Amino acid sequence: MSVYVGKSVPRRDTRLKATGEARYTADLALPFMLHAAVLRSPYPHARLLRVDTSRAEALPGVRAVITARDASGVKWGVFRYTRDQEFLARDRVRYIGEEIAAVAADTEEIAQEAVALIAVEYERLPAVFDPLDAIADGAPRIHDHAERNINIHVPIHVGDVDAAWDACDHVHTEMTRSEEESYFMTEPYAVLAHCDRQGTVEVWMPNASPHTKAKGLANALELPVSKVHVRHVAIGGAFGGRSDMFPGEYITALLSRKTRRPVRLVYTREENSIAVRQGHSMVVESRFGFKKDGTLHAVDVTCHMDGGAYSSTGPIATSVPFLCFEQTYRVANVRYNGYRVYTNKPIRGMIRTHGRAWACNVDMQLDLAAEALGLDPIEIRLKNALKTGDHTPTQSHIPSMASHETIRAVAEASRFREKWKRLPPWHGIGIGCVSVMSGFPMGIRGGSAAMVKFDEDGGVHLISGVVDNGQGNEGVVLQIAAEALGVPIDQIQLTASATEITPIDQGAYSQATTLVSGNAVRLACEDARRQLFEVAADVLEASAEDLELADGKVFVKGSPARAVPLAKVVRSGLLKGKSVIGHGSFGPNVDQRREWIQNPKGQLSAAFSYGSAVVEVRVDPETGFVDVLDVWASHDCGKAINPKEVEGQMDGGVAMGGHGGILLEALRWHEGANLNTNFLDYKIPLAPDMPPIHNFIVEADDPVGPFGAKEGGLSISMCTAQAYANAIAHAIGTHIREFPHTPDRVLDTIEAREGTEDEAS
Amino acid sequence: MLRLPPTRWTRPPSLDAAVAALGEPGARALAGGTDLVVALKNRTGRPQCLVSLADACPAGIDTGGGGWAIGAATTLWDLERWTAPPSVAAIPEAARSVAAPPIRSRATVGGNLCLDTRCVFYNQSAFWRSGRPPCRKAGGEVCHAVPGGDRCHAVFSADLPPALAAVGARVRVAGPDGERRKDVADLYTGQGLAPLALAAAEVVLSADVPALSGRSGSAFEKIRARRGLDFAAASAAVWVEAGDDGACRSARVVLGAVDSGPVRVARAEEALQGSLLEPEALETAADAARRAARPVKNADFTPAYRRKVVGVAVKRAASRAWQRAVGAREASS
Amino acid sequence: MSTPRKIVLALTVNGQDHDLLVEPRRTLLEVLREELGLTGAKEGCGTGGCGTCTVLIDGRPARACLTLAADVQGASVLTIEGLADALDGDLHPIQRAFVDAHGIQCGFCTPGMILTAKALLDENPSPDEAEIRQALSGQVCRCTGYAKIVDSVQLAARRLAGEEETP
Repeated sequence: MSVYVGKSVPRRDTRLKATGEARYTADLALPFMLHAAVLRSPYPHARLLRVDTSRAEALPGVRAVITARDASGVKWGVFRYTRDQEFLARDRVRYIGEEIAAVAADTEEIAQEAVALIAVEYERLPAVFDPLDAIADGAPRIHDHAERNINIHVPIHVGDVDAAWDACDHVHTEMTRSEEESYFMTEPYAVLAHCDRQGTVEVWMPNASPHTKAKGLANALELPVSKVHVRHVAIGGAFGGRSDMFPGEYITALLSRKTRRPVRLVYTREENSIAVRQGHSMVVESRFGFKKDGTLHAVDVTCHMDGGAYSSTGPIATSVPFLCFEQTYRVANVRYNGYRVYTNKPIRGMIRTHGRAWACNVDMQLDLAAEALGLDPIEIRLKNALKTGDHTPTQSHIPSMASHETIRAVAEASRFREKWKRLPPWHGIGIGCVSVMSGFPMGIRGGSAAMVKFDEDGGVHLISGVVDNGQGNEGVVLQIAAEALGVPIDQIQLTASATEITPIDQGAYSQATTLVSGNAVRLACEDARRQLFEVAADVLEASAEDLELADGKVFVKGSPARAVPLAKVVRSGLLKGKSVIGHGSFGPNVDQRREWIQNPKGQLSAAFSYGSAVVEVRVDPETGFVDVLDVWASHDCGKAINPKEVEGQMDGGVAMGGHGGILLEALRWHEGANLNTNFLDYKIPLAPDMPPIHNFIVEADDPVGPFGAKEGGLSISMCTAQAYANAIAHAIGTHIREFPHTPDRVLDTIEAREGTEDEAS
Repeated sequence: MLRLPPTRWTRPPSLDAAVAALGEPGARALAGGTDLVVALKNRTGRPQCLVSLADACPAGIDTGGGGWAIGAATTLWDLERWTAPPSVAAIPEAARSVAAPPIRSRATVGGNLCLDTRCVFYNQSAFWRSGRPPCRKAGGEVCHAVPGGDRCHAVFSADLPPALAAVGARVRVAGPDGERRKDVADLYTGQGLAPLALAAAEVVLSADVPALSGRSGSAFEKIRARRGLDFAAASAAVWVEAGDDGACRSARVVLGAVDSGPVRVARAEEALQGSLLEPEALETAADAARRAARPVKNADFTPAYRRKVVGVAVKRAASRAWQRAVGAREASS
Repeated sequence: MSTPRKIVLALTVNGQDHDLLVEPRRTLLEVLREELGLTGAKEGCGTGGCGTCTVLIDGRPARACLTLAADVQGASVLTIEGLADALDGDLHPIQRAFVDAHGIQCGFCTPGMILTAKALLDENPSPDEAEIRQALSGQVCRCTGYAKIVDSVQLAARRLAGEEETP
């Protein structure tokens, strides 16, 4: 029987966060520290003719000014073939906010004043802000290497789509568009870096993978990885927006190297919005073909994503919306052409509900097909949902997936079938489903390792590269360790995400932490137990296989009196030169030959979760406002290590993906300038906006996950988005093709529909 | 951290001292600071001296003289807790709709009355604005919201002024030439560039709310993206009075956030007068409001949408005001 | 223009009196974080939109980023660092409730959230859910969807009222 796994243990880190003791990067200060500020391009596309820093350098209190002349010129991109971004622009700027120069000074104010003294001569270039405009003939070219500004093209074709339409009884084409969403993690980006005279760099910044940051920074600084120490720090949210390398850490480290003093750079909210990452806007064209009985037979999707000025996680970002679809529904013939297009807008990355126009397009197609074929929305999803043992079109085997159970859970709790088409006017109910992978092939940084060592008093140190952006990853590995070791959780000390100490870890993206890092921790604990029992076996004169650890004692199973205190086992081991140090290393069983563009087939992930949501709404036909009455969310996350924390992920997913993503959130623009960079103008949901959320955790224990655990939360962010959109469509009698469904769009759609009806009558 | 530009600061101990301090070049009045401090951080204002009015203006609601004098230094936090009679219920309702509690705790009645007009192209950082020619409000000659526009179209989105105007409140203003009183509506120029009809060194001392008929009611309706924090995309305050015959005898309708000042809509008032606020009358009033509104592309939602929903705001405010008027009449009879 | 003179600022923070010499343009947030080392109040935006800098000024929640330090001369300021009893180290019941009810994820909004909740419960010890949500309407949280934050405030209210024991 488990003691910790499956229990809603309050998280240890939250005691620090509740008291203000938790230190985020901007809270940190080092002796003799300087403050940095960055000069950014105010223009979306321009050649840099001259950058004159002399007046800035002459300002009292300024200690260093850097430009591309000081930089190594190493370009960043997540893949070898996507390295297109210099961290300080050399001769051309491609979006508003791009880094041109930076200053380190005695105070932040002097640094900002100095930035204003840098004289830049620009030659404005024609710019392009829409992906469809950018691929058109005559569009300005943003990178010399990219014809028609196409950054990434992901082509996937399984079966024979062109031949499949004839066998379909219902074929329908849909076009959906979504604007960019933004992360709005509450902590603005910040970096503290110190390059010392030993040639080492220590650096603190919010991140989703300390080891990825260390490698990227080492490359850019032309240092061995061993010289770059990314340190543990409290992190105020990520949601996909802290995943890769940003100029901030390079610039700060470079300023520190030049001054030999610690340097801190703290972004404003506006900088965090435009100069870190944003979500992609998308145009999605889909053609779905179904057989009479509702079987999905053929799918053809073309998607154009606005990638902004540089690649970032491009190939992944272009693929994931398709992958989330192909993991959810069975289809024999499927073609996908995903294009990520360069524009003169800020750089786009992966975001929690990546691809609302894509995901909602799928659910729109399912509901329209159900209507045409005389099925209901639940039936058509149950009919086509992938489940345990199936394979995805691109050949991933699914070890566990409680798709039907999650669909039934929300359908029954919400009384969906009683309500479908029977609600009062302007009321609607909708369902959405999605599967999300727990990690994908990430090459040499796709696995995780952990160590466990014992103190002479029986205390335990767990050392793991796991990083916690707020979702509770530290709590997860602590609970797994306590369970696997048989030691009270309070006696385990965690050292996490400190790259000079912690072994490799893939990071907190692609939902891999619980499965991959959790397994590494479990294995390390099992190894430590084995070593402990070997030592204890001598002391107790028993066989190691017969021993058990509980209540701070090692004892012989069935004979609790034959016991020895844990501390004594550790000490007798030390006397014999046997220090107990457990090692665990885990790599997910994925096909490492799989490649995003060249070879998009083979095992993608070790595990696949599933989420289903039902949403009931009431639309105000006069204002277009949507009142959300209830949300029912059901999640196959595998074993829930900490159910309350899983619920927290689900609640947050409903807020960000569903309520914010469908009703409120979009970036607005004026000639490449982002108009809503702050919390007042970018509308993330507030406490009174949020509906009641009813959560149902469906535990389909996964054969690979630690104690059966997979992913928690991301599925819910996506499937509630789909359910919100379908519920609104049900309420107003038609789907809205543009996302988000802001009140003005809802009202326009209602009026357009009424106009059509007037004409018809 | 976002920081203010260097500035002097003074907190005059009396009204006279404050008026004198405001007469100095580059002086700017500071009330709760919840809007002004943002402007300073964005460098849209660069005063040489901030004159805190905390000790110069009265705070609290004075009930002497047959009505209520709401001191300019009264916080919105206190105002929203005022148990106002139905005739002036729009006032605490409007106060409650401003921003959020931790802003209302500092924001004042005087500050809300004197709120600057806003525009999504103007209320941006200095960096943001540096990428394009300055707009009129920033001292330039173009309008980004209405390309080719011949004036500044910044929107007046304060919530209290429509409510105060609807109940016929007057403001008491003090300046170098002494005190004067004027209708709330006359406090505004309707110009985006300089929205306040105040002379140099003048300060608002109080909003004086008259005691109104016990058979009247008022309400404030605000359309905004979220249930907190947001400025109005459109708003309406309505005051209605029931006559002996049970019909509406008089009405005042004032719109917010659809032009560069509050907009009183006489035709909407005419539509309500003599009616029982039945749907047809409300719709006529709403249409009048839509015609009077002049929203442009400078705030949340499209101008066409804001025009539509300002009519809805009128209907809802009028209905609620009428319920209050009728309820008040029944309670008093 | 000549450099504006600094002003002497008398401020009570977390029960401790401070006499500070600061530039008049300094916000309360700058003084708390940079002069007094109290980094519990955060700058999430600096323009009043997020609530991560919220502290209590004379018992009422206020944005430290929009408040000039000069304007709170003589006032009593409570930050998150002053909420728990410094002597016995125990968490304040509201802090404890946020931990126990899983109302904290990334934690960046937490100090402002807890202090706003304290002001609410001081004024209204048994708020209903709508009152809690309204009181928190200026405090942005990106992680939790507010569900467990509301649970935390309700738990704190029950514990403060003696209706439920703290384990």
